[in-house]
Amino acid sequence: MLAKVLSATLLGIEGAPVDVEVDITNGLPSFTIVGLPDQAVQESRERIRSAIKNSELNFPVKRITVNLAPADIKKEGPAFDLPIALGILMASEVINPKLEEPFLVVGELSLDGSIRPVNGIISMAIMSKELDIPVMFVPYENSSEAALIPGIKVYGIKNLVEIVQFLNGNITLSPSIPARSIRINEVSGDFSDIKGQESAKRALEIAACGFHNVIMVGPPGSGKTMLAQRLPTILPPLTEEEALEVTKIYSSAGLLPKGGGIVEERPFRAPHHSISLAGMVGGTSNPRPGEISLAHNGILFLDEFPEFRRDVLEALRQPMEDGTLVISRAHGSIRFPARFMLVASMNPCPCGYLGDTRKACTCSPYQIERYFSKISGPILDRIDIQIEVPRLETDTLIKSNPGERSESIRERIKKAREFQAYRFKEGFRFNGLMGPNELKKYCKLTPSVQSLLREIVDKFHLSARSYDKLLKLARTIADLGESELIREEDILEAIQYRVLDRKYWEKRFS
Amino acid sequence: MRNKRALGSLGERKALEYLKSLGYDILAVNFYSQRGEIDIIAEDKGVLSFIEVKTRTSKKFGAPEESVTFRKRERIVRTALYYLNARGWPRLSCRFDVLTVNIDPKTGDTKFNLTKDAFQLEGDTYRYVG
Repeated sequence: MLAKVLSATLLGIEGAPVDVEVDITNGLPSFTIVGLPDQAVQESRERIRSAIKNSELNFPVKRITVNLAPADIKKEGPAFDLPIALGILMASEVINPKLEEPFLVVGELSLDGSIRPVNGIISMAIMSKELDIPVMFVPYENSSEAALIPGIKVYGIKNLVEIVQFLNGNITLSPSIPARSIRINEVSGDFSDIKGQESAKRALEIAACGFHNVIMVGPPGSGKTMLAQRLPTILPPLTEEEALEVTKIYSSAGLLPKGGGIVEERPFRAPHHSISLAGMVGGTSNPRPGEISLAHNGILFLDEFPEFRRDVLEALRQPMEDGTLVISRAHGSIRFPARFMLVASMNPCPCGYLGDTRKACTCSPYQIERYFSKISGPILDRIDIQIEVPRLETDTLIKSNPGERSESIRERIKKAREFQAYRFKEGFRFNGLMGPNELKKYCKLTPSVQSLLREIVDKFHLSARSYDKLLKLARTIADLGESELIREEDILEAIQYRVLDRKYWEKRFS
Repeated sequence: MRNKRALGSLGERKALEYLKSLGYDILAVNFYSQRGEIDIIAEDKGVLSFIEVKTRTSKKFGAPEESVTFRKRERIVRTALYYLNARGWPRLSCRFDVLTVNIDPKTGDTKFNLTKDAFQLEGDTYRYVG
């Protein structure tokens, strides 16, 4: 007897359909799985055998051949346990499905027949909707996550016996209800926690509003890390589409909290500087999302920026430009979304006290030169906002004058974002992501502003790319001031955020 | 030391009686091929069953089931394939059973333990051919 069950696997963060075909014939008893299975799939034979026996069902003493089609994509993970087990039970006529609609099954089996959760359920649910498969059987713990996708009926299954009885029409189950939204970041705090640093706060507000990349330079203990960690509290909320993208990435990486749900806040990722290339961009032979993809639609915070490995930093260049990352392997290439806002922080020199008013710097010029040379020109070029975060003066430190609360900053950003959204009618985008065409279209200048810009370009010897960055930044500042036109003061503020590279990197790049 | 072969054949005789009492239809005893030997081949309710008989008089050397090692299983499977080929592949499903016979040397009491479907082929059938 031949049976066929529809299942799915993950390719990167997208679901891909897999047909599980089970053939049972007479002959010497054996159990073979073909169709490019990995180790976890091979091992599923033992789990399936035990699970069926321990569920008081009959495991056929016959020759069993399982084929996972299409045979050219690599099948990984234990999610095929349940479809294979169902295929065997259908082929040996223990199950005679009463269900008329086509259905899709995923789930890992435990030896006692209970069903364990798997990764990437939401991507499989999206796939099943696109393929018009109206019913899904998924592990109970994943069911509310799959139910987030409207238009398909999702049944959460606790154990093998339950699904066998349901398919045979002996019991009824009710479809699962969608999960609530969930939080993924552990950071808390408020911008009012930070004393002083008003100009840095203003810069971060602009960055959050236009999705501009930021680098902060300052001595140890000046508050760079605190500032970055509080950035999520002022970010505008995710749009529905963005939330789905983030949820897909976290689900396929297995990082959603138990029960799953839709991610409602922008991710904040702060990998340590010892991170490997594969950890940052994603990879290994079965590509998984790296930190830059986990930071998609959110913040990638790189503390101690120059301490990261050179190859890791250079690998950021392409995704910073395109917003996606393509990993090519022998089995094909996989696309990961990676549109993140880079927030980097570093000291002004290896010892950290260059330019400090109270402590002398002990670094040699060569050491300082080498420290800054770790950040290459192309990377620095892609960072719109450069700010200095100086050591706090004694007065500001002692006086506990609470700053503005995140709440009110967020309100301001929200308004400016609505302003942006109104302008970018064809789709909701950030100023920081504008291309040359959009720049021409949305950054119209009055004659007086034009002459000011000419003066600035001459004085600071701005390159074409720097000039574009300056305009984008000015556009965001104007949005915060709810001005249709870019004003002189917007340009003048923007130029302040573009001068640090002169101070620290000038010797190297001019 | 007592004769091992004598003990083995005593066990097999007892095993045959036991299997017959269970309704097994005995097809062959001590089936030899170049690839190995199968103690008993029988049909049990439409299933062709290849039975390995293990006889023990004490537990000193571990449970008898443990002594059916991978090499031994491979030999049994190869012989089974040879048997099936010789018989022109009867349209039956097949099974490998292990029957242990525990004989108490003092009282002569005999205990049987039949494990149906004790093991299966590992991997593909072709691995066992040739």
